[in-house]
Amino acid sequence: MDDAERLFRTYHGMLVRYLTRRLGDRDWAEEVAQETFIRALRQDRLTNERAWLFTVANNLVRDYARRDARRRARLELLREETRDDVVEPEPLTLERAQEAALARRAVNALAERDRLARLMREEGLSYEEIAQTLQLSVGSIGTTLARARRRLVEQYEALREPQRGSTGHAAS
Amino acid sequence: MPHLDDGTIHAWLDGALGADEAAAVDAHVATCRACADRVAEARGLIAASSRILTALDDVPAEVVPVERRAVAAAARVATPALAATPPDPPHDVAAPRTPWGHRYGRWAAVLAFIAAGTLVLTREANRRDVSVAERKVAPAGEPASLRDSVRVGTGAAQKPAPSSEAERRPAPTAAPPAALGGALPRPAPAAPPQAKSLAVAPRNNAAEARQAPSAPALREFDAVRKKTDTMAVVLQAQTLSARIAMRPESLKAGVGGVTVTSAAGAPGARGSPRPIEVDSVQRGSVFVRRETYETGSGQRVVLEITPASAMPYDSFTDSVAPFSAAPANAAAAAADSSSTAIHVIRWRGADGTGYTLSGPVSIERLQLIRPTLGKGL
Repeated sequence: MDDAERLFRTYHGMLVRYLTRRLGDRDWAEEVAQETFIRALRQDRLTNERAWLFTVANNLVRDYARRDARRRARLELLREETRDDVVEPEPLTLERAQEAALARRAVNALAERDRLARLMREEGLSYEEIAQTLQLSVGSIGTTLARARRRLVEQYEALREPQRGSTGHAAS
Repeated sequence: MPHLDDGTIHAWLDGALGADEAAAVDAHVATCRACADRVAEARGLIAASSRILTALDDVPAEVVPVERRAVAAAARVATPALAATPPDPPHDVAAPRTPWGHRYGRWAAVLAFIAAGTLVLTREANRRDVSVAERKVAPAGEPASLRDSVRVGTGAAQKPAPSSEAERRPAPTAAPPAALGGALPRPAPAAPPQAKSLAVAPRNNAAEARQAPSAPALREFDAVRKKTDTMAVVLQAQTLSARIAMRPESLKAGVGGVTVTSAAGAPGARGSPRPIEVDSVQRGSVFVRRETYETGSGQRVVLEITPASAMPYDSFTDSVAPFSAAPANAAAAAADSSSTAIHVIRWRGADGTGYTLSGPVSIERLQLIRPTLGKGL
């Protein structure tokens, strides 16, 4: 197994999952991940592979968004419109889709730094790697993650509350 | 030891503290009820937030339901900030992918539209040919021409297909705003004498029936093509007074092929290859624009333009990546040229659009031709 294959096998799934959770679009996530690995292969040497990959992926997403603000605005519009409109015939699928939509809204409600730190931590990045990627001090990562976790849960519960009310009302 | 802050608690739970600091926190939590409660709460937050993030994994690749795209398109038109910008090309990276069924539905609408337009055009042209033949010579100031008949015929035919998203999109800057709005396009300036002579030519003469779009018109057509889908291409082709023809091979394949052809070839800039044909071909699941040029030495080269949204990141990354090959498109285009090996160069424009230039010429020659095309510079 050469370096390229090892790098891909080790980090591709993790990176795609992170980007999918961040972007909400698996196709986009896979394309960004692919570009990230292509750039990695051009490097002679990577000191911290995981941190480097996540840093480049974040930069690609940022550059892309900056370059195409119009597309981002359109995505926002689509996201708003499709918020409650995932139509699936099976109740279980519908429920999961609604949970995914709520989770997406809750994650998007976080500040970007908090969101990225939380998503990267979920992929197992160390505090040092997160700090390196986000260009923060290691000592601030604990506070960042604590805030991100709390706000994420609070936001998610706040979004679920109206649905619980309507479900309870419908049931009664 | 003072009470623990949230950052320290989370770092401790994440195993991110040094051994000494972790031991101190451990000892404190064992004796401080308040901090122990906060640690328990932090554990709950960590677990709950992980569950929430797991729910994000249910996001499918096609995140936008089909029926919502029409609403989104209408909203985009209705939203001034978004309507002022050109629409995205199909298969936008960030935009939802179009399911095959929906895409074929659009193509079916395009085919129906072209068929209706061609029928009306043919009847109108035949009627005019007869009247011209009867008069022998057309009056010098005659305003009616084949161009008018093209516009009138296809303009009437475009109304039955309002379901296409392209018609709800704002018109490209290169086209009159009314061209895509359902109304008849504005009359074009008077046709040059050469165009009029073509307009009165016998309809069944294939060589003369193919009207030559000018080089600027082709460039304009290209600009529009990048911004719109095929329906818009058809409509724009009308405003450019280009002849629209149906390709039988495309019909057999179940897709529509819109071809703007030039029998004589529009004269290009000095030393640059002249455009011969512009059409659309399917490459895998993507429709790409194909332009055929004739070089000064009579050889034909083919430029395929792949929308940025359909471009994978793993190709076209380098500015030029020449290699020798014999792709089907190049072979077809150059079948009548020679048996020289087909060479291909690829590059990517600043906007991510992919370009593939191929032909029976050397790579060096292709690289010399490339800047003269003015694509993806």
